[in-house]
Order: sequence, then structure tokens, then C-alpha cells
Amino acid sequence: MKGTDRWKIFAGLFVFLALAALPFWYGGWDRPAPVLDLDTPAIRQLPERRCVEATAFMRANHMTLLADWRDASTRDGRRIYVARDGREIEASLSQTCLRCHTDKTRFCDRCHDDAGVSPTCWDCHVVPEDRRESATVTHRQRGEGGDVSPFPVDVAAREKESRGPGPR
Amino acid sequence: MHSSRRDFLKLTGIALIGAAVPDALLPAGLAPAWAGAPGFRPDVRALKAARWGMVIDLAKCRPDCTDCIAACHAAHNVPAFGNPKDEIAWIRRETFGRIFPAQVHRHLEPRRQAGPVIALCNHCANPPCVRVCPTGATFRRPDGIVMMDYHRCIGCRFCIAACPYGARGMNYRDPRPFIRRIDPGFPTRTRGVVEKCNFCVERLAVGKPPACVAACPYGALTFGDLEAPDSAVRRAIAGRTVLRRKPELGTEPQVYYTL
Amino acid sequence: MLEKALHGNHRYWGWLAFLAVVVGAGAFFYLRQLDYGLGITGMSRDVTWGLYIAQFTFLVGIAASAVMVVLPYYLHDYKAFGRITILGEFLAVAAVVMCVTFIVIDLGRPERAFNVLLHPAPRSILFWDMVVLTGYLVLNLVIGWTVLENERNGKAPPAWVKPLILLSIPWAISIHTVTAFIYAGLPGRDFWLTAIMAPRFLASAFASGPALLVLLCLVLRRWGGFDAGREPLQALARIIAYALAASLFFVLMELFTAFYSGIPGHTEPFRYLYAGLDGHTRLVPWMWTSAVLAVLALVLLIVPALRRNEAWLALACLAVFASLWIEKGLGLVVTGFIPSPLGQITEYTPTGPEVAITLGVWALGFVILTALYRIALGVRKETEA
Repeated sequence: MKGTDRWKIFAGLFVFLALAALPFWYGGWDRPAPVLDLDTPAIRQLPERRCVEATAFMRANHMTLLADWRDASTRDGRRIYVARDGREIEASLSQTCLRCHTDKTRFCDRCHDDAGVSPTCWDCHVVPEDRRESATVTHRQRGEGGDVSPFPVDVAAREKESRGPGPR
Repeated sequence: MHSSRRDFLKLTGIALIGAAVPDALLPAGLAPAWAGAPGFRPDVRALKAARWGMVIDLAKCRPDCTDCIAACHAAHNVPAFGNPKDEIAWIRRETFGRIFPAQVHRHLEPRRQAGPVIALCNHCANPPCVRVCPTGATFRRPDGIVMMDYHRCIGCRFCIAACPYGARGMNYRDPRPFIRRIDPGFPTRTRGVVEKCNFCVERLAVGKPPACVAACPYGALTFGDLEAPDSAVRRAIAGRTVLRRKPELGTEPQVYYTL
Repeated sequence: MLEKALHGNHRYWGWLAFLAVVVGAGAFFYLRQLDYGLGITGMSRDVTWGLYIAQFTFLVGIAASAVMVVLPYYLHDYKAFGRITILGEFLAVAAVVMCVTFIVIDLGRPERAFNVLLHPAPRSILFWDMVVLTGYLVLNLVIGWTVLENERNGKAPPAWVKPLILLSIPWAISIHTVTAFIYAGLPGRDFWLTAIMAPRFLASAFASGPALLVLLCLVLRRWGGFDAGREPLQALARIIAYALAASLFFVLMELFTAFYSGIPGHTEPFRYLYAGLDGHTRLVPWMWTSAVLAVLALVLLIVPALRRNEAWLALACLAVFASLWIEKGLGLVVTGFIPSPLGQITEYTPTGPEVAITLGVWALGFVILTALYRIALGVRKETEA
């Protein structure tokens, strides 16, 4: 290898690394963490402000928790999640998470935008503001069982009081 | 602490040590449809069956009624693209001749041949779509429901080629703008995935019958456990002449038609 | 060796620039497809596979046909193919890359393609297709590259290459067999449900692939400064003649079974192809063109005087390639969906963006092929000098 070539190689590597680190140059090295809005009517009504799991756990692991929820409910039909503190919760992004975190832009998006990730959850799962004609009575809300009770609800109690009609 | 939770923990413990417990030994209503890992369990309201099936009574189905289709498509956010190229339907209304071409002959009354027959996924016991799916996005649950995991579908459409019933549809474009009224209780689909009837697993999971069955004003649709001798579906086919779509293909469709 | 692809005359760079433009146009329309969805193509509720999957199917055949030069050269020590074996192997590499690209662009959610590895489903033929295609790509790349590199250094290929070469022979058969199984195992698609699908695929592949190779050799002789010689081309012509005859024979067998049995599910797709069904005749002119070209090519290849004339040979190879492209790259896939499971006839025409994307993938394949051939011929020139 000739000396000039070596110089070229290292210069090229340097330029590559500088370009690869562009997000850091662009965003700055110590940016303030995004502020999440937890002040929604549903959260205000809660007797105790506690998410599915502890806040620190949720912050770090909500994506794997949701992936577990997804697989358990879709693939195994096990739709009730038993939290570490024993509460039993419907494993549903739109029926559980979004009931409290009603404002996606001021909760989910703030972190996701900051981290530069764009989860595809919302391509299918309905965000509250997307609920077109949400006042319309749908089959789920036609006074059937505990579907509309505020979260977090212990589903066992709900299950007890309403056993739906069986198939004909 | 609720008793159901205690029972659940007991169950979890049993499942953990790997013992297979016959459902009969468990408290009523608590038998999980299949073994659960700790952390998740089915809703106790869930309806269970060894094999879900449907009976469609063609004598009761009326040509001027599409209530089942409307209920299904509203409940599942099925898009209405308004053109045959993109069309997706979980239930479609076809003519007798199209659904049962083998039953057509020259002397069949035209009224019968053109009569309405609704068609949906047959939830085959031997489903070719499940066989060909390269990711397990389409799978058969232990209760016989052929289910799609839209998170996993890569949109290769092998299942559509494999389905002999035309029961599956591809989202050739973003379906959301074509859903008249989005029901927040059920996800929509995204562009690029295949979709089809799910026998309303989301309703069975909370103790409700399928939307189409609930919506039929004439009682033409019966839903239940085909393995239970005294179930509604078994009573509906007992002593009747029954048609199934293309049974010669060996797919074992679980949707039965009575004349 | 890679640096050899970076040296070439104006014609070389002009050709690559032209291909780059076609690739660019394809990429542009592919971005549109990503944005809009596969609805940008002519595929529909009833015809859910179109030009992309048909190209994939046709190109698996091109890839597999490398075995037609590898086998005589390595198993029968047929020296005449020594000069073109590398061309066959690199053609296979380019063809497999095109195949994989066509599969990916056909996916509704290409970003999830790795779900096939993440959640492997050995019951699915697509899973096995991925396995055999990847393996075949690696085999041909490794074999071609190693043999070439040793040739450059004036050495015999290392001993470990030989078993790989032997393995690549059945492997080539496997890629097209597995591809045929994608179609031939589906209940309710009577047109595809035929046990001779794999033999038919192989026969047409062993005609179309070598035909392309002959054309490439003629192009290289004229513009690439490489003469493969007369003998290998004549040998390829005989292979093409046999394979084409077998391919036609298989089609006639399909026609016999369909029409003598008279089972509607089997006759209807063939009637759609060659006569039209209920007034739907879109593919009829194409299929008859294919049939006429095939018969014409067979005559040209069988009559010795014509076969030995390289102008006629070139024409015959063009006819073979075009004929089989129509049969496999157009008719075979689409017609499996006609009529639909509900007895409806939906015809299929690719859209402009779909054609542009398809051409883009072909151009991408030719970029790879050109670069690989440039390397191979550069090494040849070096060693022969």
C-alpha cells in the first residue's frame, strides 16, 4: 500500500464516520428529554396514577410489552394481561393504552419524534382523533358489559358481572 | 383478591409444571382454551369450542337483505373501495350458481340458480392458506378458526392463490380512506396486507356470537361447536341435506349450507 | 478482480449509463408503488400475481439453466464449454439477483420480508424457495469467483471447489422444481395443478437460458472483444433444440389431458389462452405468437444447415427466448387466476409503472451481468495475453 493511498483511506473513513454521526451533529449532544403530557381527563379521574406497570418499566419497555400483548392476544387468544402487581388488564393498545393516553400527539409522538422512530402501530390501531363520527353508537358500545369502564379496571370483576350471550 | 385470580394462579402453576389437566377437572368457565404462560390468560367470558363452525340456511336467506355483510364490514372496518379491482369483502353475496357450480344443471330453475348465497372464509380444517403462508401470519387456532396476524403478513398473496374460495382480499392501497365509519373497537388494516373473515374472534373472546350471526334478522345463520353433538350447529344440520363448497378438494370447509 | 469492472471503453460506460437510467426510472416508480401500494399495478382482486411473479418464475429458469454448461463441462469434461462456463455461472448470479428483487418488489410489505427468516414456516414452499435461491446464488458466486481468480493466478482451482460444483448441479434442478411447486400444489387452481409442472419448467428453462447465453456470446463477439468460438454455440444450439422439443411436448401433453378429459377446470384456462373465454381474448395473440415462434425456432434448430448458420441461430435463439418469455413470463402465472374461484374472468394488463419497474429490475440484472462479464473477460484477456 502506498503512503498516499493510506492517507486517502483514512480521510475517507473519517468522512464516513462524520456523516454516519450526522444525527448527533444535527440534534446536539445533550438535548432535554421530551416532556410528556399525562394530564388527560381519563388520567385525572384515576384513583391512583399508575400505568400498566411502573413508570420506569413502561418508559423503557413499553414496546416489548406491547409486542408481548400483540402475540398473546392475536396468536394465542389470551387477551388478559396480569400485571406484576396482580391487576388484570385487557391487552389492547386502543382499548387500554389509548383510553388514558387520549392525546397521541402529546404523549406517544413526543418521544417517538425525539427518538426518530416511527412505529407503524397507528397504521391499523385507531387513535382517538381518528375515530370518525365517534359519537356514533357502535356494536361495542351498545351497552354491552364493561367495555366503556375507565382504565385501569380489574377485568375479573367486569367478567363476573357480564357474561355475554352464548351462540345460538 | 378475586377467586378467579387465585384460580388463575393455580392454573398457571399447574401449567408451569407441565401437567396436562383435563378441562373437566377445572372449575367451570376457567378452562383455558389452551395452555397459558404466566402473565396472560383468556377472558373468562370467552366462548370456547373444539371446532367452531357455521350453518347457513339458504331457505331463510332473503335476496333483499345484506344485514350480515353490513354488520360484519362495519364491525371489522372492512374498506369499500367501490371498484372490483381493489374489492375486499369478508362476506360477499353471490349467486347459488357461482358458489355451487357443481350443482348447476340445465334444468335448475333460474330463480334458484340466481338465488343469493353468502360466502365467507370456510375456516377449513385443512386450510391450504395456512400451509402456504411463509411467515405464519395465517394460522389455525386450536378451536379451528383460521386466523390472520396482520402484524406479520408480508403481503406475498400466496394465501390468495391457495384459497379455492376467493375468501381473501389484498389491500392494494391504504384502506382507511375507504372505511365509511371507523369502529375504534377493531383495528383497520394497512396497505399491503391480505385480510379475511376471522369468525369474529374478537367477539367470541368476550362471549359474543359473530356479528353476522347476531345481525341476521331471519335466523339464517347458526354458529357453534361442530364437535358438540347437541350444539346449535349440529342440530341445524341433523337430518338435512348439506352442501359445502368444493369439498372434493379436501380442505374440509367448516361452513355448511342447508337447502 | 473487482477493479476490472471499473475499466472499460466508452461503449461499456455508455451501456452502463443507459442501464442506470432504466434502473433509475424503475426506482422512481417503485417509490411511487411503496407510497401508493401494489394497486399501482394491474393486479386485482382476482388476478393477484402478475408481471413481477411471472418474471421471477421465468428468471429462476434462466438461473437454473447454468447447469446446461456446468454439467457437460465438469461432469463430462466437455472442453468446448470451458470458455463459457463462467458466463453461464455469472448469468445465473445476475438472474437470481433479479428473482429475489422481483419477489421483494411484489411484496405488499417489503419491510417485513425478513419475517420469512424470523418466523420460518417450513410447510411453505416460499420458505424453501428462499433457501434454494439463496444457496444457489452463493454457490454460483463462490464457484465462479474462485475459478476465475485461480485462472488469473495461473493455478488450478482449489480442491474444495469441486464438491461445490457437483452440488450446484442438483441444486440448479432444485431451484426450478421448488419454484414449480409454488404453483403445482394449490387446490382449486386447476391450470397449475399438474405433476409435470416442474419438468415443464425445467424443459423451458433449459431452452430459454442457453438461448440467452448464445445471444450473449454473439453480442460479446461483436462488441465485447470476446469470441466464445463456434463449437460451444453449436453445442448449446443442440441443447436448446432438445429442451425446446421437450417443452413443446409437455405443453401438448397438458392440452391432451385437459381436452380429452374435458374437465372444465382444466380446459377453461387453455381455452382462455389460445381461443379466449367468454369473449375475453387479451392473451390470445400473445400465446399464438409464442406458439408460432416456438415452432419456427424448433425448425431452425433441427435443420442442420440452418442451425450451423449463426445468423439463423441468432434468430432461432431470439425466437426461443421471446416464445418462452411469453409462455412463462406472461401466460402461465396470470392464467392460473382465470377463471377465478367464483368462476369470474378478470383479465390482467400491467400498468405503465409496473412495466417501468419490471424493466428497471431487468436493467439492474444487466448491470450486474455486464460488470461480472467485464471482470471475467478482463481476466481472460489478461491470462491469454
